Amino acid sequence: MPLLKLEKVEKIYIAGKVQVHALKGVDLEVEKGEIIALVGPSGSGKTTLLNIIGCIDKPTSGKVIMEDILLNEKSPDELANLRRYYFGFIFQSFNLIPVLNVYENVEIALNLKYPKLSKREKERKIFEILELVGLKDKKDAKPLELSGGEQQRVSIARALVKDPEFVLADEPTANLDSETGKNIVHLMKELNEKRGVTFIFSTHDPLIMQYAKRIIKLRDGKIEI
Amino acid sequence: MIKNAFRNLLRHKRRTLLTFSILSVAIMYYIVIQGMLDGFEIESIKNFLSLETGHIKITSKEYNPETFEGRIPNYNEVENKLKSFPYVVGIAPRLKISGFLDNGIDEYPVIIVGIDPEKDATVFDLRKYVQKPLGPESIWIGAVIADRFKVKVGDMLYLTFKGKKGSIVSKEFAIAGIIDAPSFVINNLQVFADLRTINEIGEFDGEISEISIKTANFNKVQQYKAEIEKALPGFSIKTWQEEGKDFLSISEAKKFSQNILLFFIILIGIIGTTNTLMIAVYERVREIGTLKAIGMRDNEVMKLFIIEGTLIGIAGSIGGVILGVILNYLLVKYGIDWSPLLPKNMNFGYRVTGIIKNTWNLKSIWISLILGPVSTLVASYFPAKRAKKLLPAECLRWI
Repeated sequence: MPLLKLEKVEKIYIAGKVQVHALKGVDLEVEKGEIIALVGPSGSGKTTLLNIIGCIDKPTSGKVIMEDILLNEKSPDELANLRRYYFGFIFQSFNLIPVLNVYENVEIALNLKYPKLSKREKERKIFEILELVGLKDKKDAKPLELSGGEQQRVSIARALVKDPEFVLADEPTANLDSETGKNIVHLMKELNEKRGVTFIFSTHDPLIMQYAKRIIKLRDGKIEI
Repeated sequence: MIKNAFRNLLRHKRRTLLTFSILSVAIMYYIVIQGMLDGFEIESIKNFLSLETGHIKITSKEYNPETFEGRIPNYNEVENKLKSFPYVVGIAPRLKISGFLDNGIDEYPVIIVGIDPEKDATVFDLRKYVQKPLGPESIWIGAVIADRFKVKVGDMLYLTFKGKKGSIVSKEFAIAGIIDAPSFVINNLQVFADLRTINEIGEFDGEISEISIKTANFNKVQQYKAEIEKALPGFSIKTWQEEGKDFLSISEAKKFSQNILLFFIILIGIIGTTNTLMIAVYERVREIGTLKAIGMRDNEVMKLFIIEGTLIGIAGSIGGVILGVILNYLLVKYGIDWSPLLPKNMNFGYRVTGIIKNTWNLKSIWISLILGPVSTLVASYFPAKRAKKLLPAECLRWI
């Protein structure tokens, strides 16, 4: 049984009088432990598809099913809970909270999933993940004091610290130099192998495509076969 | 969450400071204006009692306060009965008649008030406004009357009035005092003369118009009145509240307009805060999207903004109360000289003049401490609701 299933998912954005058909009937099945690369030109619907998979956007029509549960009819709070417990997001533009330091940016996600975790356990988990992304020494730095690559690594740590089922990453290497990009892709591959985390990337990066177990091509809101 | 709210507030120090200042100044104004108005009110009532009515006024039932007809004969009997009440601390018989004051060229209509200077001082507080004591051959006159005749203490004026039997009598008096008191009636219309002298010239046979009394507690006058009425069944007994109905109703009307003013002050504070928080929401839409994307529920996002707003409210309230208390303390101690704004020949309803000191209105301080956070809580509700409504993906697309 697939972990996640999309059936005839459509998404139409309305901007004033203009309608944009971002997704035109997408069918997709995702198995646990996969690494999927969504590729396609800009405007092909990659980010929209990621957003719908990650429950941060709603499809105009079609079904999104996770472990036999239909997500379309879930309330905003139920969807927030799903994001909190199952999903980790890595955004192209990092989206870190500027007033919080590295440690706190990671902590906020951990607190949401495990509010009753002891301080010691919390520290252990955060330092472990910061060690993994190579930022333990910069735990007190604010996002603006970090380079783009470092910020992206904080964003990865924030996504991974809560042991999610899924990590959804929107062009995670787009703002990184090739060396940092490579390190990060290696890191994700390792996590996939060690922890069985399912990764779905939207990307143009050949390196990611190289590591992906499946490549899905999108064009004009449709999956190309 | 509170820690984050604090940091968010400090993120835009200048804007937070501006909102804090608007709220603090609004609350400071509220405290100071309340203290000022209460100061006016208390001073006004104090002056009304000590210059115009006393605590309770006793007249004959037929007494007409406009023509001064219907006098009390044998007031000694009434006075003796009043002396038997332990709470009566002062008794002042007064004879009031209408008459004229003239300097041989001009004349001016006045109310002549015959007083026994010693007894009068047990109820009324005229002595602190006059230069010399009142003797059998002298008068005290209101400051506006003195202006009109261009006279000073020591000058002479004629007092003319109709005696009991209808004959017009006149006598020259020396001015012993020019009264510039916080009372329109006294300053503009009244002339005080020795009761015995007026009685003799007018042949009033010892009659008087009214007896004013001072009691141990002017808030208990209703209770005292009931007891005095039993002892003096044939007389009209009026408390200062009944006597000052017009004055008190003006004061009530003023309170209403003052409350409207205060409402607007608070409204400005609320609008200022709402504005800042609204800007904060729009500036942080992407951040809101991120928080939602990592699993923060809509209500938790809303709470974050409400906490921010309430924190500004608490800080603004405390700041406003501190500023208000400091300024009010200075105004309680030194007061403000209102005389340029309160000309003597105009009647403002308030019995105040010169330097008026503020008073402490503890209620306004409590209200401020509650009102600040509550108003910003209300103000932050709408921006927070806006943040709550946005879909996470919409927030992340926000430019």
